[in-house]
Amino acid sequence: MFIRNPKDLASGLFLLAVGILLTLQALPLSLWTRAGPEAGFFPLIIGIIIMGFSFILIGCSLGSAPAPRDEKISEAQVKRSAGFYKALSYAILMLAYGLLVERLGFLLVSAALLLLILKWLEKQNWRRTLLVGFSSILSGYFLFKFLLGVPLPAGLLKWW
Amino acid sequence: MIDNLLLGFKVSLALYNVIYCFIGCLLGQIIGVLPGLGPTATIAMLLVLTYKLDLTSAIIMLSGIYYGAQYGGTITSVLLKIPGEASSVVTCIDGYVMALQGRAGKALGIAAFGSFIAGTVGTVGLSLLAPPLSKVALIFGPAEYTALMTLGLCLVINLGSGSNIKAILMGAMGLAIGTIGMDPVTAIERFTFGSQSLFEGINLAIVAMGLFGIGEILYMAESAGARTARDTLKTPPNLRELLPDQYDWRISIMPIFRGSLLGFFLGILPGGGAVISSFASYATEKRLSKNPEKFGKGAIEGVAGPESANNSAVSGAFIPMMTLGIPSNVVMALLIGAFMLHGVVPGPFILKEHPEVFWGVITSMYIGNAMLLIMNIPIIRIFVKIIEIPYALLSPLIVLICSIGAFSINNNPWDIVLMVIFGILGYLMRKFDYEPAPLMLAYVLGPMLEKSLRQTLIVSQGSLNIFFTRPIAAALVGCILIIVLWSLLAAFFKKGRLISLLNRIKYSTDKGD
Repeated sequence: MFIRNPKDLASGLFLLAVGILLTLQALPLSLWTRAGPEAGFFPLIIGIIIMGFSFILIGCSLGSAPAPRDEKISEAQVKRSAGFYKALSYAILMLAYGLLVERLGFLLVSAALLLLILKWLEKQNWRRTLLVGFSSILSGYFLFKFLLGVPLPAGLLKWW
Repeated sequence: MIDNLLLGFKVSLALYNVIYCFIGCLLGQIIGVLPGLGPTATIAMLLVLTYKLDLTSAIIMLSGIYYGAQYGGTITSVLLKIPGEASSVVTCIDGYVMALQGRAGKALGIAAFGSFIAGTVGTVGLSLLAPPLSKVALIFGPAEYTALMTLGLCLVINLGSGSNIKAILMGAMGLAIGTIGMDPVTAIERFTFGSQSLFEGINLAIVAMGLFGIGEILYMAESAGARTARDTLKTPPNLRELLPDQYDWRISIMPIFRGSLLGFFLGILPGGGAVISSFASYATEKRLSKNPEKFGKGAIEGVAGPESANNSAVSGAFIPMMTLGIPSNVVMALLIGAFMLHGVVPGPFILKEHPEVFWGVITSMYIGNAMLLIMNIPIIRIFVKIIEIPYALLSPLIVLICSIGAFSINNNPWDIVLMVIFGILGYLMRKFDYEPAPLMLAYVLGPMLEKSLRQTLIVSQGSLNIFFTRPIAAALVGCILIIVLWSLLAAFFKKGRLISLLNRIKYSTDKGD
């Protein structure tokens, strides 16, 4: 047995795990009473569907002969792996934003976020970084706080 | 009917609604011009902002973004061979060739006029069909709703471009995500893992902004291709060149009307919509043309038909959303979210309980289409400039808006974290070739589907016969079975097994077995 499509195999295994988890979480809930289907009924069916089709996907990703391999790593593949770290950095910065915004405040954390994205990730010059960053934060603050009345966290600047 | 339209115009012609319609159309056109950022991500980002607006104004603006994007996508398709929207992909085929032949103006002009005519035809269709369909929808019971929603999911899964197995898995995942929070019938907590944040489920805007907004940002960050469109940019035409002449009208008028009708009816179907309509129209025009060989070489019909179809499909898509409360595509699902943010459930009762919303939105489309025609022609040069804004500057702005938007829903920073998680999911889905549309639609339909399924089984005391004894439900179940059978046959044909089976039958017949 050979792996013909590693992407499908990996995603199939992940979804199988999700299906199993969903089914196990649904079973302790009441499934059916005399009144009819209960809270666990629908999630149980979905869990079984996910497990079933994950098995099919995993099966389709395997084969009796290996898939033909590309011997050369293309330039596009090299660029993509560098791009992956950039995408990962974006995700980490946004997660950090979510975790810190209430403690440190909207203005400080947004400034840090935009500075890091524009200067470090997108390699913009200082003039553009400051201009775009400053105007984005100001317009976002004005739009959400004053026009829409959203209480943005002050954080460390609450004295202001 | 006239009274209803007058009521609608009274609402849509109020100054603030005209302004919101203009903002929506302008934003939509800008979004349509920018490849990568579609109306789905934009509407998802603006969903939370519309909370502060009146419901009618919010829907008018969001609708304007949707049909405005169809106009905008044409510009880059013709001038740069870069489709701004998926529904403008087919316009690249003949539109760009026309630009190379020095006929960019004709292509853009006929697309704009065709879109206006189609948008108007679609809106008239919506005005005529929606009220009687609302009356039919009143006789729908839980069994009919269950069957209809299941049919909708089957169509979305089947009409997607990728693998059916993956689409089914994404649909099931969407249904699963929809079960998080309170059970819709008994209010029991499900899959919250003790988290208060998940008690009311995951907000639609979080899922949408994550999957379509943040997911797109992460994917674009990885792709990191510098836009070199400037090298291939065709000089935007001036105003005089944009007006089609008599010959152009003569050969384009029938494709425009055919595209309008085709787009409208395909737009009604779940999973249909602007993309499929534009492809279907192109295929139809090529088949009906006396000179099919000129398609692909600058045939103006190849622009007129598809551009009309994709605009008309937008109006068609409103029909199941407004009359039945069932979204036919992801954008309609988001509009349902906008309705729900204001505590209104779209469906057959909206015509009775909120006629000003219903007719106000429909009549705003007449106004919006006229605005787009007027805007589209003189300011094409400005839209072309927008393409030159690098993604490096757009991406941080989108990240900031999404983050504040997510926070503002419940003033909860964990919503930002949740949105990023969905963003990572959206990014991984693209990497592993999964489509987000089935997940999104299933997530919106899931709670409604579960509720109506459970109600059906309670009424029928657990028997599934109810789906075959009620005529409308039986007809819908019949359609589901046809679609499932069709998919299985299509899979069988693709693998060539049926052909080899037929060959074996022929061989054994020839041998006299």
